[in-house]
This record gives sequence, C-alpha cells and structure tokens, in this order.
Amino acid sequence: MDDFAEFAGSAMPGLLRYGHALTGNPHDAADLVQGVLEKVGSRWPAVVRRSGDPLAYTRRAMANAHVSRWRRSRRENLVADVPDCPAARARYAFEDEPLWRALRTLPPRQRAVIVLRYYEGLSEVEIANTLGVTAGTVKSQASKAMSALRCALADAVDGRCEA
Amino acid sequence: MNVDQELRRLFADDRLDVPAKAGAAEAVVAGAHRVRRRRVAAGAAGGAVLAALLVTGGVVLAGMGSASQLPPAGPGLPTATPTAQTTIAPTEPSDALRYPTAGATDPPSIPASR
Repeated sequence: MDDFAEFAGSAMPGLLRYGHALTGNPHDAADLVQGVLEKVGSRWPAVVRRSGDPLAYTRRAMANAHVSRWRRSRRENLVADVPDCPAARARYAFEDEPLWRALRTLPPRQRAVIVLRYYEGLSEVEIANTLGVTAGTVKSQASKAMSALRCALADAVDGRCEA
Repeated sequence: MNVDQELRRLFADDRLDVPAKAGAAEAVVAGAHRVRRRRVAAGAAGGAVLAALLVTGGVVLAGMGSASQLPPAGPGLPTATPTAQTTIAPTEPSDALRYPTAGATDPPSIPASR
C-alpha cells in the first residue's frame, strides 16, 4: 500500500487536470479522481500486475467512470431549491471561453471522446478500447461532437450556426 | 476558426490545473482501505449466505428423499388374487322357449277381441 500512496501523491495533479478536462469543472474532477483512485487503491496489487501501467489504467477508469456516473445521475437533477445565481459564485476561470462553454454542452461520451483525442492524443482505436465501444462509434461520436462545437463557436462569434 | 487547434490550445491551458488539497493523497489511501475492507466484508457475508443456503438446501433435499422412500416389496405379498373358476352347467330349456314339436299340445287360444 506504500506504493499506492506514492503513486496517488505523484499522479494526483495530472489526474485532477485530466478530470477537469473530462468533467468540465474542478469540483466534479476532485470527486471523480478520489472515487477512481480509491477503487484502484483497493485493488492495487492486481492493477499493477495486470495493467502494467497503473496511470494509464487509472485514466481509462476515469473516462469510463465519468460516462457511467452521468448515466446514473442524469435522472437525478430535479432540485427543490433554485440554484445560486451565477453572479454570486466566484468567477470561473473558463467562463469567457466560448469553446469551453460549448464543450460543457456535449454529452459525456462525446466529451470523453474529444478529451481522449485532443488531451490524451489517443487514436480512434485506442479511444474505442478505452471506452469499450467500437471504432465506428468513436468516429460517429467525434463527428457529432465536432459539428456541435463548430456550430456553438460560429454561434458565439457571429450568431449563426449552419448545422 | 480551426476547432482542432482551439481544442489543443484549450487543453494545454494552465488554468486547467486543479490544486490538490492538503492531505488529499492520504484521504485517498484511507478511502482505498475502506473500500477494500467493505469489499472483503461483503465477500465474507456473501460466502456465509451461500454456505447457509447450501446447508439448508441439503437438509431440505435429504428430508424430501427420506419421506418419499418406499418400503421394499415383501415376498409374501400376492401379486394376483386367485379367482374362483365357474362353470356354467347346461340347463333344460323352459317350456316357454321350447320349440313346438309334433304331438305337442296346442298353444292356448287367444280370446277374441270384443
């Protein structure tokens, strides 16, 4: 378990950054990293023995956990209270980024495909293996995501979307 | 606007960094211990339930087996009952059925209708 403590300490900054890209906000990123690292740590000897690369394994687990968590929680977003006004919260670093706002509107799987492609630099086949889907699904999800992003950016720049 | 380039620029942005809270790694290690203990406990509980089910099932099956066991057939038990042999002895036909033969008395006359 000492190995795992060392791994968690050294990998956490990068994983938090990756989680931020995946989830779109730092709080969900922290939750995602903690949940996945706890599961990885609980099976640490097996993870090291079977995967050979615990960091890559953890990143794959984060991508899958992010998509699964959204599936579980998307029906639970009815709230009794009105959420806080955005002006009352601290200003978020990417608030003024049209592309970041557009990324937030993507469904988690499409967002995961984009993050794995442009943040991780994975190929379509590697993304398919990571997410447990076919390469065709990755291609279609990436195509839809890019169309949505182009549309959102065009909309932000000149108020027109031709998609 | 080139979306590919914009995405690469965005994901290389330093603002994506999330500062880890102090003690975050220790919390994760403690959480991993907790998850492991919970899994071990759940596995032990599941094993105990499975063992109890197996024992209960075995007892029930054994009970059903002894209840349905029949005593072996004894040699003295007859497998077929003897039936009394009956013979029908030929009987003399009654007068009513006897075919009239020559010399016999005439049948009684039928009274005339009114």
